Amino acid sequence: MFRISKTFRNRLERIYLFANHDYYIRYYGSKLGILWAFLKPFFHIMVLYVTFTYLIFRQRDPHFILYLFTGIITWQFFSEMTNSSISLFNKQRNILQNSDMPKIDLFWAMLGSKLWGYLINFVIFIVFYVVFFDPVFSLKYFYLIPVWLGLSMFSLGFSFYLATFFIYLRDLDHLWSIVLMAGFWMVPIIWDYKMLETTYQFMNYIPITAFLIDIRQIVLHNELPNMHYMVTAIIISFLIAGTGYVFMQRKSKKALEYLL
Amino acid sequence: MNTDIAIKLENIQKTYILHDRGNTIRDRLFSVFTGKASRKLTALQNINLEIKKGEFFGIIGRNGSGKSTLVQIMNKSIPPDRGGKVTVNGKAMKLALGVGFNSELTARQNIMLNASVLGMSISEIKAKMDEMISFAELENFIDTPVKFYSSGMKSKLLFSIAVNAEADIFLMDEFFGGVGDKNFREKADEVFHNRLVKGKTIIHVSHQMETIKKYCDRVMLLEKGKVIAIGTPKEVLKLNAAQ
Repeated sequence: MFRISKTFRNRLERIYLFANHDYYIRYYGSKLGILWAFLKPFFHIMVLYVTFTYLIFRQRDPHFILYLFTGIITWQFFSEMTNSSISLFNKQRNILQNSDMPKIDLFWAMLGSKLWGYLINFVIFIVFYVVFFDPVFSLKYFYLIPVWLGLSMFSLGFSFYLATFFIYLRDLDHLWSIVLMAGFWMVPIIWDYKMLETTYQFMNYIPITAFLIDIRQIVLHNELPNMHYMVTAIIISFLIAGTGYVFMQRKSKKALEYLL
Repeated sequence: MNTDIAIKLENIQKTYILHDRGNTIRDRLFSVFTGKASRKLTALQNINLEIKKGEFFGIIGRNGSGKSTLVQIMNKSIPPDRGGKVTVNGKAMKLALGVGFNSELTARQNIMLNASVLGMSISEIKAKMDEMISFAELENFIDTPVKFYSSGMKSKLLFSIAVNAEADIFLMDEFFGGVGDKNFREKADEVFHNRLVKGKTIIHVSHQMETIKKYCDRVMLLEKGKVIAIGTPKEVLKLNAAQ
C-alpha cells in the first residue's frame, strides 16, 4: 500500500499550519472573528447589487454585477498573492535563519491561504447567484479546475520573482502597487471582454486576461472556454512559475545576508 | 564522507559585501552612473574543521569574531564563498532564543508553528502540548497573544518547544543560559543535559565560559574570522583568558 514518508507528511502538515495561520491571523482580535471572511465578500457583492441595480447605471444588465464580482475577486486573489510575496522573506527571516525549512514551502502556504480566501469569495458569489438570479450549473464547471490551477501558477510565478527582487529593491512594494492599479484597469475586470474579439486580440494571450474570460464564460454563460487561449495561458503560467522558482532558488541564496 | 563525522568544513571563507548606499530603486539607478559604493568585510578565513557525531563542540570568541556566521554556514542559511564546502551528515537544527514567534498569535498557536518547523507532526505536538505548556510555566497565559509576553516568558516558551525538536545536530547560538529565574534555569539545565544533548551532536556558541567548560568535549577559539586554537576546554579557555 502506498504510504507517504514521515518527513513528507510533516512537511505537508507544516505547509497547512502556515497557510491556516496566515489566513486566520487577519481576523484575530476582532469580535466576529472568522465570520468576517464570509461577511466581507457578502457585503461587497451587496454593495455592488444596490449600486448597480437601484442607484447608478440602472439601465444596465443586472448580470453586470456578477461579471464585475467574478472579475474583482479573481484579480483580488492575484493582487493579494503578489503583494504578500513581496515581504515574505523579510517576514519569515527568523524561520529561514533557524531552520532548514525549504523556502518554497512558505510560498505553498501563502498560495493555500489566498486560494482558500478566493474560494470563500466564490462560494458567496454562488449563493448570491442562486438567490438573485437563475444560474445553470453544468459539468462545464469542472473547467474551472485547470483555470484555477493556471491562475495559481501565474500568481505563484510572479510571487517568486517579486519576493526575490525585494531583497535587492526595498521599495518594490510601492512600484508594484502602481503596476497592480494599472493592471486593474487594463485587464477585463470592469470593461467587457468581448471588446477583445475585434481589437487588441493579443491580450487574450496574457494569462490573467484569459483566466478572467474563461471564468466568466464557464460560470456566467455556461459556455466552454476558448481552448486555444486557455491552454496557452496555462502553459505560459507554468513557464512563469518554473522560471520564477529557478530564479528564486538561485538569487535568494544570499537573501538572509541582505535581510539580517 | 566518514560516517563518524557529523559536520565537515573545507576551506570556508566568508566575505560580506556591505553596500554604503541603500537598496532602493533610486539607489540602484544612481549606482549605474556613480559606480557601486560597497566595501568587503571578511568574516571568516580558511576554516577547516571536522566535528564528530555525538561530540559537544564549543565555539568561543569576541563579538564580531565570526561565530554566528560560522553557525549560519553550518546551518546552510548562508552560503560560504566560492571554493568552500560544507558537508552535514544528518538533520541539523539551529536553536536560538527570542526568535521565531509571531507576536499576533497566541502561545498555543506559536507552539504549533514552531514545533512544526522543528520537525514535529501535528499529532505529536498535540500529544506534547500540555507538557510543553506546563514546562514553560505558562498555563494561565497560553491563549494570550505573545505580544503581551515579557522576554523571559518568551524564552521559557521557546526553550520548552526546542527541547522537543527532532534533529541529529543542534546548532546553538547563545541558546543556553539566562533563561528565566533560578528555579527554571535548574529545571532547564536538567532537561537540557538529559533529554536534548543525549546522543546528539551539539555545536554550542557562547560567551558563557561556565557552560563551555561544563559540557564541551572540544572548543574552538575564533578571532577576527580566523581559528586561533582548537582543543580541550581547559587548553582553549586558558588561551582565551591570556588574550
